[in-house]
Amino acid sequence: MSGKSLLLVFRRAPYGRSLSRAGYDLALAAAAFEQPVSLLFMDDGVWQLLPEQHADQINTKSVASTLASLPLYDVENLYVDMQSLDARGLAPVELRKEVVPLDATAVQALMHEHHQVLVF
Amino acid sequence: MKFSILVLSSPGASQSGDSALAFARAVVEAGHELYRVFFYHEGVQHGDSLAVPAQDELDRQSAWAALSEQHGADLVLCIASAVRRGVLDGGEAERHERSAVSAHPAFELSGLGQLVDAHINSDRLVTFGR
Amino acid sequence: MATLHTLNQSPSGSTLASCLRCLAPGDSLLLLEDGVYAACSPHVSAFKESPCAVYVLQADAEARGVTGRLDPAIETTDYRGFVELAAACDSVQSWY
Repeated sequence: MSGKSLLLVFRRAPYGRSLSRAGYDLALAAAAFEQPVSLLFMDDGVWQLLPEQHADQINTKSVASTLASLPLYDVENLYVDMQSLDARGLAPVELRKEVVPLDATAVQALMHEHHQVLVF
Repeated sequence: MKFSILVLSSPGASQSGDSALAFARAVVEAGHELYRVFFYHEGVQHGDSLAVPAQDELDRQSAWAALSEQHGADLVLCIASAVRRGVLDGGEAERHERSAVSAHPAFELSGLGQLVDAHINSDRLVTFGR
Repeated sequence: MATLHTLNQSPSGSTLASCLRCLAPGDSLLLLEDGVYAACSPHVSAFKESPCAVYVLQADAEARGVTGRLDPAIETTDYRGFVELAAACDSVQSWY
């Protein structure tokens, strides 16, 4: 796919702040305009990837449904920072299956191989 | 060189909107093109004409409007973020049956496609958020 | 690809550490807004070993009364310099 590649980095936990939703909407918009888009979850952003999120309990839309819809829009490159998982006592096996764990070197490389990195 | 700016925070909540304005001014002073300033999420509040700045405060909205008028930069508010926060142009006020038009005329309400376009067509995209 | 990273958060949060581990050789870092505190001791030791050039926005340091506390190895700059740094790199990545 041609176009200017975009990496969206999610650093914040879901629900407490609404900025992550803005990141997902941008991912979908970029994909709609046929720009290559990847998502990286790091720091508190790794919490976005937990299954069993019942956001209806706080009258809000679940991140899980947004993540599930991404492949329908050809947004399929999802990565997670291993150091952030370790710091939070999370293992990759606990997360959504399609997320690729990266070590620090690979995170750096991922950022550098994209034309633009935006943090949410 | 073409610069675009992404503003994610509202004028009062943090300094980052002011940093964006100072950066935008420096871009044009250096002779570069300011292609677009895209206000997203809480940033759309920069376009709320019903907000009244304190007398001893910088009138940010007028500053952005002047920059746009003098240098031709697009000022775009993400329409979904804006409507959600009560920043409405005439069309949206009518569509949603709201009693006031609140968007400053220097700012255009449009979709995220404009941000994607700025990403595609600018040489540099600089974000200011909190 | 050389990236200019910008950081506007105080070093007491997690953003500085996350930004620093993503810096690659050839990148540069501009500290602005509350990020200028990172240019003061003891926080500055976190990146004195970094191969990347670090800059601090003069106006934000002056506003916060820390110009006398900035590590002398860190270059101060203004918004004109910020634009030059942005133009000289390949992309700008903002941490906040």
